Amino acid sequence: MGIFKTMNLPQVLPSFACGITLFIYGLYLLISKNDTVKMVICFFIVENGIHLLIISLIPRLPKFIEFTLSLNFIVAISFFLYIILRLNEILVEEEIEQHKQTKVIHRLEE
Amino acid sequence: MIDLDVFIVSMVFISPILFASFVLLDGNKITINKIFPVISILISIFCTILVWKKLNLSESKVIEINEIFYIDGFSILMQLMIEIVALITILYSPQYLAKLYSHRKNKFHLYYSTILYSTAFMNLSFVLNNLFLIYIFLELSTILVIYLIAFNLQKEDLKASFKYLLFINVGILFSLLGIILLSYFTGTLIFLSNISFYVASLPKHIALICGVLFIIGFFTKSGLIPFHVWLPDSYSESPSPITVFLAGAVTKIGFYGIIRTVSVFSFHYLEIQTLVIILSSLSMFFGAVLAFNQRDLKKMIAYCSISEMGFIASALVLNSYMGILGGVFHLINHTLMKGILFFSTGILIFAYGSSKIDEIRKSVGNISMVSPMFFIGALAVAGMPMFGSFLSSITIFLALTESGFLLTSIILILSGFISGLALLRTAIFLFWSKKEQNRILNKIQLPTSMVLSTLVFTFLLIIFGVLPEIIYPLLEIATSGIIKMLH
Repeated sequence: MGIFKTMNLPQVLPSFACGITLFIYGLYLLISKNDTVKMVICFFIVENGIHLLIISLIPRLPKFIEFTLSLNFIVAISFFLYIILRLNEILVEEEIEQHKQTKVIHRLEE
Repeated sequence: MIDLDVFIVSMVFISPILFASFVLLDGNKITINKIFPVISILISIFCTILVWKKLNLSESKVIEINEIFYIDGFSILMQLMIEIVALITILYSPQYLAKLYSHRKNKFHLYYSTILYSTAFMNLSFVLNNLFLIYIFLELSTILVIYLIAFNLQKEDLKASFKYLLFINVGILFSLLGIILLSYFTGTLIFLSNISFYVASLPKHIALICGVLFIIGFFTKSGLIPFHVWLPDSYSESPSPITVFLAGAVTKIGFYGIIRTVSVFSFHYLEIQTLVIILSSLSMFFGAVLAFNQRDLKKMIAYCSISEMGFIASALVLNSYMGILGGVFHLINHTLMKGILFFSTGILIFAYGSSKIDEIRKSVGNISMVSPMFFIGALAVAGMPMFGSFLSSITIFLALTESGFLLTSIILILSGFISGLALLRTAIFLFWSKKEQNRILNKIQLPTSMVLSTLVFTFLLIIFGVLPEIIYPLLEIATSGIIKMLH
């Protein structure tokens, strides 16, 4: 099988192994985490795995494709951050509101 | 000098990008918001029709330009479908947004420009030849839709959009992995023009791995069971016009991917075909069953949509002309049906501010315009004669039976019946129950643009059911294009 022949090449061995490990490890972490920020970091790990796999398996991929692929991931990450920031704003507002309500209840009880 | 063909093909996606940039930069003026998007989509439709004419004149029924563009009948069909969906979504939106999203008034230009950018990237990916580039632009177009899903910026919307983004991004990475493996084992970049030749030459176990990776990727994008988790939430939380855009355009991207990759694998390897048929049978059945229990009207239609998409996926992997024809026809009918149902729901939300069935029922009695259209949508989902969906469902049923998948064809009829029943039951519950409070409804003025948009979809659905010869030339050229690519 060709895949094992390529893996024996010294320059390819680390990137292929790292790529596949990062991909699977990232997926595992993505499933196991509940925190949104941690999930985005796990997504980063999966992405890095994909890029390493591309380097090892298709070394002569046109640069335009590599560039647009990276751009694609950057857009995805920026949308992730946008949503997380907005969610954070809403959650903080909710917490403040809850805190105010509990204060009012305490005053009434006193 | 730029070749005229290249110019026309490019204008299909350049025009929305250009106008979207205008709207983005200077779009808070109402005239620019309303007029520019419509003009850009009309230009796109005109250019697509020109390309279609050019395609009809060519002998091979395929236009290949410099290894960059690959245009067959299916590309034209997808482009036309998505442009029409985008146009009607844009026409439906202004009144809906003005009432329900007035707190986001200063961001309306972003809303329209995002729709245009997304449409442009979809149009671009439908004409590209390189599988990597197709992946990239399909992905870009779906990522942009996030902004539209989370447009309201409420907690639930943001949660739904996060789920959408996570599932779509991670799921589609599997198909990227498939493309990487395919390119590695063939030793060259994969183009649509040569994909069938290279897939046939792969070792069987590698081909099966690639096929499964593509299935995971594109099934997630289409929202088929068991990768459907993102779909009901994003459908129910997004604004109604965007729900139609999601159902009519964004999930169809997944089917474009399925046809260009999974269909090729299923053509050469029967194991892939069987796997897809099993998964799509699950989608058909569980989609319909899960629709029955929903309290939210939009979620109910979303689950019916999953069931319907199972029909399409099962048809597209059959290696017969009839199967692919039925699948492609149902692709159009699914867009029309979901358009009618979600637009009707949008009008209900516009009038009463909720999509919860119980809450609507408390205030709704008879809406003179909405109830017939909702009933038509529900009957079409059930596969009643006189609608386009009847013809496509029966074609898929016959093709499945001919190919030896009798059990799947029975599940198809059963799930169509169940989802139709769920929608009809809800429609009767909402519109035909006798209530005293119904007077409130008549006082609300329904916007003409919203009603007309729904009527256009209803009209098309009935026309395609009664006079299928109107749409047949487009279906024929699309089907023959797909079959040519498979061989």
